[in-house]
Parts: sequence; structure tokens; C-alpha cells
Amino acid sequence: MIDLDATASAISLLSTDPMAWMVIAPGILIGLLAGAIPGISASMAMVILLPFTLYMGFVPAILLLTSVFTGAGFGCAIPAILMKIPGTTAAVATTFDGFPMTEQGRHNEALGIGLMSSVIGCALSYVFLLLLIAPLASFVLLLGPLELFMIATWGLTLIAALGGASMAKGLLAGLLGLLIGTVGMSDTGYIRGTFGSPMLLDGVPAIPALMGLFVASQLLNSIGQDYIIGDAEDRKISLRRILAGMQLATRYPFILLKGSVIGALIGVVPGVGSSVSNLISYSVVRKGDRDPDSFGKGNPKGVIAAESGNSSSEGGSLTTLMALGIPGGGATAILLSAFMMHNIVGGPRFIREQTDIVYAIIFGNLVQTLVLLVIGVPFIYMACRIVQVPMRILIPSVLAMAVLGAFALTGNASGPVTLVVFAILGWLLTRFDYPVPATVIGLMLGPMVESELIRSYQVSGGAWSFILERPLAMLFAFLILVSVGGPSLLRGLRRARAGTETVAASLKAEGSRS
Amino acid sequence: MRPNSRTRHALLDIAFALALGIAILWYLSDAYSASARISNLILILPASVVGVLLVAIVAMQAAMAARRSRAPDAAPHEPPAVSGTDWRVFAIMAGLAVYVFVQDGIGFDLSTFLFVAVSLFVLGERNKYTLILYSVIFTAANIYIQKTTSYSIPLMFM
Repeated sequence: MIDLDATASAISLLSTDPMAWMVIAPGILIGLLAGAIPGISASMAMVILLPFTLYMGFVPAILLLTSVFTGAGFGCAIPAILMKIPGTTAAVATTFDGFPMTEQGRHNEALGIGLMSSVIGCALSYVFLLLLIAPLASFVLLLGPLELFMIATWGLTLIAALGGASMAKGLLAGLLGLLIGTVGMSDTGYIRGTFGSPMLLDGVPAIPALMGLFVASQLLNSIGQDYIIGDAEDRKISLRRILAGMQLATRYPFILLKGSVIGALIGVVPGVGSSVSNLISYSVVRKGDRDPDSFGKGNPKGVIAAESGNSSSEGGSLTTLMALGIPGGGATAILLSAFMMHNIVGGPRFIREQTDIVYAIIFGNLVQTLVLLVIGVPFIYMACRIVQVPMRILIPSVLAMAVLGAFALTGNASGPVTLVVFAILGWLLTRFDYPVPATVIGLMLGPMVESELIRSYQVSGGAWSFILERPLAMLFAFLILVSVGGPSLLRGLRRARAGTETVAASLKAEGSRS
Repeated sequence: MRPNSRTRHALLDIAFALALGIAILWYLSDAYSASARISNLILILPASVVGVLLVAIVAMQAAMAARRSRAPDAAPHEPPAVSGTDWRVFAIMAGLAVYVFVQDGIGFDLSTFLFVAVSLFVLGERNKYTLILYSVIFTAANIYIQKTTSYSIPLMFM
């Protein structure tokens, strides 16, 4: 499985190129910042750095860009844990238990757990990549449009089933996002829901909408609070507690492994990536736990599952890029551009003929995870200070930054207007107990779901029996049914069992009386 | 929450669900008017039908919850109520909308300064040095970053 000659060659390649080492720390720091600021994504930071990579060798160029990717993979968890505002959609599930931990004054531990889980998840995904690059690549080739449609729908139903008290509200919120995601000109050239505005032809600007739904609605709901954490004693920042959190994460090796395997496998699926792997990993770990009801209330295992899931998808997405030349998302598309700028084409031939370079990239990425561990601790120590800022200062500052960021993204008023509209929608959804993350995931996956469905229709010629020829699609369809029907079925079974026990108890009581 | 306010919350919950249902139906009709071909409606039509069904379920659940809450032995469940919302939420929301709509006219620098200063005041900051100095420093720092990282933004002074 491992080519020893190529390993030796990769080590010599890395040891003779100091630039390969020099780019890692700044890349990680830029990635941490990009991930931590809502509205700035890893891909945006990577695009800004892309021109600089022209003056570097291929390996340092890729290592610089993947460092940003790695840093952002954890950076997005920081606002998710401290403010319930995921830096990107990859950290949606991190908010479920991360923010309750912050509210309980366990923000230091939560961030430590998040950092350690990210580091281990990312490192494990690269180990998988090293061992399994070829079989993983063949797995991707088994996925057609119908499977991609099913995977995206599965992710959506999972989030709908996870959040909020009512499953119907969860599904409605996800469906609303899905429909909003299809606004604009479709792949087949039809224009829907634009109100005649040319600004909406490309669809609703996704990042300003996400910022509105998460950032603004969360901040509006915080009005009336003095600080994120009520008790002054709990607001303390402690390096010791951050380190204790990191140690706590290592006490759950099976959850880390489970999250990492799921993340790496979902990560190889083009277009789905870290957002869905974060949710699926959380959902699988929650369902497999002895006490699933403790999740969503500040259970550290939830943070471990979510963070190991999203960070490990990085290795998975790099597998698809290197083995097939297919980018899985925005960040890997930029990596593909860097490949092209250096006249390198990803694919089976690249893996076969330039194995030393592939290994050098993998080893470099393994080193990045260690650097993330070193840089991440002081970074989160600084980031924790946000809990000491009064809400009256934090709310207007973050709102103004979000508006300015939304303008920078779109270059016109459509970004800030979208932010305001979605802030009001998000606030209403939260007030009526609809899970906002479901709407966001629906919005992000909407265009993909529709185009994969159209492709499936075109490939099958409209024959429903097509699904019977696709066992993987049937498996995912089954998983969708389980995630929608499973919770209701379990509730029904629990009620029936409780009813039987009550009847048995009353019969017993009557028997003892007579 | 008293039974009256619970019933009011349930009514608002139903009204919001119905508003979502109307929005979904409007979107379906707009998509249908663009084209009735399968390639256009393949996702929107089934999703809208399921959406409307879910709206009906949510409305029924809210109505049943309201009925249960009127029962004398109802559990003291406290859903967040729009009717009992802090007035400052609406003030900040309105301020955010005004901030966005006047940006082009008065520039990002002046509008950002005004939004931050007014919001700080609304949220309870009364120290005039904090109100003015913080708003000026925050605006200057952010506009500087915007000017260096993105292309032109409309400005009044900077």
C-alpha cells in the first residue's frame, strides 16, 4: 500500500526545500483567521494567496494553500462555540453542543476539545489518504448524479431531524432553504423567483444569506443579555482548562476514529464535503451513544464528533482532487487552479508517476496538523476574550462588520440587503422554534440537489426503475427514510413501552388490592 | 407564560407557518409560469407539495399545543413569544435596515459610525466618550480594511 521508494524521495524533497516549511505557519494563521470571521471562507483566503504561489515550487505552493484549508477547518469552530455563529457551514453541528458548553462557562474546555478533535481528525484523514488513495478514488467513480442527489438529501434530512423540538418544523425549515437555493436561473435556463431583479439571476447570494441567518439572527436574539456568559466567574480564560479540554478529547478515541472515518469518506464525495460530514458524524455518534438525549445540552462528545468529522473531510477531498482531478468544493477548486498553474494534472497518472510528490503533500499536511496544535492554543486563548466583551458593544460591532463583509462579497447593495432580509427571517425562524441550521444547509445544497436530480432524470430517461439499478442510491434512500422516520418510530416505541408498563403496573396494583 | 399569552403565541405560530406556506405556493406559481416542463419543476413541484403538507402539520401541532395549554393541568412550557419581545430588538432590526438602505447615499463611513453609535445607545451605553470614540475608531479601522482588501466603496469623508 505504501511505496517505500516514493516515501524516501518525498522526505528528501521536503528536507531540501526550506520554503515548504516556511509557508506552513503563516498559512495556518491566515486560515484560522479566515475561518473564525463569519463571511470569510477558506476559499476566499486561498484565492487571495493564489497569485503568490506562482513564484513558489509546486510542493510549497500546495502546502501554503492546504495550510489555509487546515487552519480554516478549525477556525470556523471558534465563533460556533463562543457565539453560536458558525464561521462556515462546516461548523453547524459544532454549535449544537459547543455553544451550550460556553453558556455553562466551559468555553475553555470546548475550544480545547474542538482543537484537539480537529488536529486528530485531520491527521487521521491524511493517514487514510496515504493508505487508501487508490480504493477511495474508485469509490468516487461509483457515485453518479442519483447518488450525489441522495447524499445531499440525506444531509438535509439529518439536520432537519436533529434540530428543534418538532420534526415537521425541521423538515419545513430545510425545505424552505432548499427552495430558496433554487431561486435564479436554473441549469436548464429557467428564471424563477427573482422578482424581475437581475441581481438574483445567479441566485440568492449564499454567504450574505448565511451571515444574516446565523450572525444577525443570533445577535438579535442576544439583545437583553449583558454578556454571552451570564456569570462573571465563568467568563474567566484559562490556559489550564483549554489544555484539559484537549486532554478530554483524547479520552474518546472511538468517537474520534468514527468521526474521522465518516469525515474522510464523505469528504471524497464531490460537492458535499465538510458541511455534510460535520452533520453526519454528529448524528451517527449521537445515535450510537448510550445517552443521546444529553447531546445538544453541552455534551463534549458532540463537539468531538462534529469537529473530527469536518476536519477529516479535508483529506477526503484532497483524495478526489489528486486521484481524479475533480475538485469537491471551493477550496479544492482553488487547489486545482494551483495544480494547473504549475502544469500538473491530477488523476490516476499523477498518482502513479509522481507518487513522491503526492507523498510529500501528504507528509507536509501531517506536519501542518502539528503546527495547528501549536498555533491553535494561543489563538483560542486570545479568541476566548470575546466572552468578556459586553453584548452592547459586541452586537453593533459584529452586525456592522457583517454588513461591510456582505458588501465586499457582492460588490453592490445586494449583499447587505440579502443580509437584512435573512436576518429578519432567521430571527422569526428562531422565535418560532424552527432550526435555522436546516435552512442554511438547504440553501447551500439547493442548487446541487436540483442539478443532480435533473442529471439523473436525463440519464435515466425518466424511468423510475433506474434507482433499482443503483444499489448505492438505494442504500442512501434507505438512510433518508431512517433519518426521517427513525426518530418518530423510536418515540412511538418508547410511548408504547411506557403505556405497557403503566398498564402492567396498574394491573399489578389491582391484583394486590384484591 | 399565562394561558392567554400561550394561545397568542400559538396563533402567531400558525400565522407564521401559513405565511411560509403562501411564500412556497407563490414560488411554485412563479416557477410554473416560467415553464411547466419537468426539467424546471422536477424539484420545485414535489418540494412545494411536501412543504404545504408540512405547513398543515405544523399549524395542527400549534393548534393542539394551544388547546393543551388551556387545560388546567398544563405543564409550564415557556416558548419564546414574539409578542413579549424586547423593543430594542425591533429598534436594532429597523436600524440595520436603515443602515443598509442609506449606505449608498451617505457613504459607508458616516452610516457605519451612525449605526454603531445609535445601536450602542439603544443597547444601554451612556458614556459619551465610549459612544463617540469607540464608534469613530471602529468605523475608521473597518473602512480602512475594506479599502485595502476590496474595490471601491461609497464614502462621505474617508
